[in-house]
Amino acid sequence: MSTEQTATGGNGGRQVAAPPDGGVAFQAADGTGVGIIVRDRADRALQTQDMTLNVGPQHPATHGVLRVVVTLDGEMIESAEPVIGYMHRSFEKLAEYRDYRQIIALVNRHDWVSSICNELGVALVVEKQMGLEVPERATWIRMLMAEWTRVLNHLMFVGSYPLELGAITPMFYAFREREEIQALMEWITGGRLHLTYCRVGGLKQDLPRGALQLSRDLVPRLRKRVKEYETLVLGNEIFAARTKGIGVLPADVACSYGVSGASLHASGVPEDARKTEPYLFYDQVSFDVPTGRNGDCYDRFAVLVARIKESLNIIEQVHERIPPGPVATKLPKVVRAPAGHAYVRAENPLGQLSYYMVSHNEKTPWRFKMRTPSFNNVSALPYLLKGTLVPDMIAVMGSVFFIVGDIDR
Amino acid sequence: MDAAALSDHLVAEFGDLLEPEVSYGLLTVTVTPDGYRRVAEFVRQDRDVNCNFFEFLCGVDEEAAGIAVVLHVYSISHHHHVQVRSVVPRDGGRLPTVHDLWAGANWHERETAELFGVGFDGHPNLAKLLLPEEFEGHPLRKEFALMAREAKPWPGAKEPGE
Amino acid sequence: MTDLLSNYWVLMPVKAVAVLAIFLVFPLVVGYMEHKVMAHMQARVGPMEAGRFHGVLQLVADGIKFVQKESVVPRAADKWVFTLAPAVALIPVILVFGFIPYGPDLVPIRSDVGLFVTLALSSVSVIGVLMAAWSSANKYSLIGGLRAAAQLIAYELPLVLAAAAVAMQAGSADLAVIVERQQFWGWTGWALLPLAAGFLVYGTAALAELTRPPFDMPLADSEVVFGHLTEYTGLRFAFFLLTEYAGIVAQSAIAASLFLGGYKGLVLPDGPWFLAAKVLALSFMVIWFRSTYPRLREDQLQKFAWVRLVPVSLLLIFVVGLLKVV
Repeated sequence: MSTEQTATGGNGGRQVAAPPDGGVAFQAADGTGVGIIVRDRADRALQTQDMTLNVGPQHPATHGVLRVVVTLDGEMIESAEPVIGYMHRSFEKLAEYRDYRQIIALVNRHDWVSSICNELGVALVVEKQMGLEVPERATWIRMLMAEWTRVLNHLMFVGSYPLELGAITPMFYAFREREEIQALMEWITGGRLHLTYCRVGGLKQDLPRGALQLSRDLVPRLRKRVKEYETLVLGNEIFAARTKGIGVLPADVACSYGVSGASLHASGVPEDARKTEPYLFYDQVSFDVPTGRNGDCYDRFAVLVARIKESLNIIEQVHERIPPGPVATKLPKVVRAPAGHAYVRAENPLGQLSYYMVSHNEKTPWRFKMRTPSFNNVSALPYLLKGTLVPDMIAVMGSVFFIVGDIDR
Repeated sequence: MDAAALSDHLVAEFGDLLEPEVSYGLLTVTVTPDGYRRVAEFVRQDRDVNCNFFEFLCGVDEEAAGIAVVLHVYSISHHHHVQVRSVVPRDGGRLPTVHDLWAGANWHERETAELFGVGFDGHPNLAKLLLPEEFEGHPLRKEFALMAREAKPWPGAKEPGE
Repeated sequence: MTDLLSNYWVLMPVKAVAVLAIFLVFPLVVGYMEHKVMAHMQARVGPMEAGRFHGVLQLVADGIKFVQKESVVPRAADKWVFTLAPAVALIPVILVFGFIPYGPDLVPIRSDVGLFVTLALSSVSVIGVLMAAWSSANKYSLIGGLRAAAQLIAYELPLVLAAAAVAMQAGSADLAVIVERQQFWGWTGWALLPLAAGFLVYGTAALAELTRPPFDMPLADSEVVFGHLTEYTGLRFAFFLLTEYAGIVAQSAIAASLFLGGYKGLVLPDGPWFLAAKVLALSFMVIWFRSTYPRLREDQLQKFAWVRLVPVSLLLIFVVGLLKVV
């Protein structure tokens, strides 16, 4: 390889000290990096280059159709840009053409792993705007179902996150637990995934006889298994080495992006809608909001496991508090919310879900804005992924805990 | 601070520039597009308001009046919500961006721009977010018809008994 | 009979057939064991259908499936390199089976440097991996292949050093002699402790050479789809899979011969059945690791090799040498 000394280099850079094996080194004019330009025998310039890699939309690690366009320098990520919209189903437009009660079947489907929690938000916002009084029994049962759904959602991520890091076994254990809970859900509501159990004014139907006892029996079984996850996964040295110190999200950056849920709590901010603005009867049960200290992937996962335990605590307390009574208020034949706007904030398993509804006193809402947690969580990905390695990208992406339907709606 | 006290605090700072409204416990201040940026900065930086948590930014089609852009933020330290609302004209309406105050506004402004056709000055990249690149039109505007309803009328439109 | 068998031209085909038979049967047994053991560790049952009794013929069925698949070569791939890569990876592993001592006089190829020949042969498979990665014309394969190359080269060193310590202890590099000099559980005397450490080093390095979890970064399916094997289908993919399982058997056999006493046993006379039992036990450990551990990141993997394993194995050689002299 013949080398050549030239006074000025390409892209307006300035010449820096030559590398020992010959060739000429230049620093780019804006000082961003050093590129080595060497000339081969045919006097062509060879230059190192960044590689653009498309992670997704079909990829085993992105849960669903999320695409991240990543610019790599070797194995280091220089920039990452999520491309979303592959699952956009225009829920907000559809909601403007549906009766207030029909929206409940629609919102099941954006965060499909936590169906009851989504429906709850809609029911609450419509009831708030109409000024409906929901019977006590219905509210307590709603709480029970919401917390079981939270456990279901968290178990899914407890299973799938170690899978992305290479530990294939927790997945099976987590899904075994999920099967038991889903059997309970199916008994109560008739559905396993999209439950459509909440109605405006209460619930679809009462609990079947024996369901409460099944729920009571399930709690200690789950508690034992959650302890297993702590020892098997959180105590595993390789898991800790892969997740500690990776993907640190400082608290102020998290708030600025609007990141919520386990990711926010892991960064040290104990902001939980169930505590700060209690809806349903969350102010009458006692539970903690687990927080982390460092905001890294390990903390996010640890917070997730701790949240399962807290939800089990809430479920146990709710068991004792459900009073007898009706489960739904009688609605008028035509449901109209008075003109105005209302806002309801709920703590979904993935984070903070808000519904902002504008009504012009018609049968359908005028504007129904769904502020989904995954949208804001994933918008923080460019910040989190900058400067990480490719294997860490998987660890970070998995630790943000999103559902693609929740991002795109 | 509760909504009423917050409302007084904002009116004390800005006077006639904004119109406060408290609905179901939520404070919404409506400003003109010119005052939007100043109010947003105040809401973010004032120590007593200190809304550092970004909730959402969306548009609401107000038909003849224009398109209302609603910015909803929350304060982690003071536990209160503020909505800053500004109505822009339907054609060529533009607002200054707030993504430097709240990083999460970046994607929300992109979404509002493509769904409603509102421009945001100073935004680094207003490319389409949710819709495919070749998509024409602004779907969440009221004049953009939902094809399914055009094809077949909605049975729920009739009152019971009709 | 023995006269006939002492004829070289009769003995050679018999040996070749025997080695081929072992090569075809044992990896399938280990593969089936992996299905079932992993399944039971994960609270499920594993294959139950193929072959009526608990899915014993599952891998045979898989083999037939692979054979009848369409042979696809990506258009942009380097055709010859792409086609030859499985062969380059597989054939050395078959050859390794020829050097392992199966019984007191049952070594297909007896050689004074048998140990180092087997280690050298297992290194040739690395070239097959690189050929597969580079010729696939796929960015994910490239990333996987580069990771594989770095990993395999790094872990060669502790592997060879630990084996060299054993050769020093035995005074010979002939695998049959090495087994001869052991008891049925392994080494005796002062050498037991350092060589037990050597067993751990060799075992870890062998796991990394086979790219088995926790060292399966090159094949990490949540990141690089399937690494250097992404573009392979059908019979070529089956050959790579066979390489992996045959590699597990081969490395377990070598480790058993080096550290665990090979074909020696108690109660029953020495013979291949003890070696088989030890190989199955070691394969069980390999499978257990797979179902338990997440994978190490590439730089952690490299650090582990260079900063921990290599100094330990150097120390090992020093200690074993000292004990020999003293």
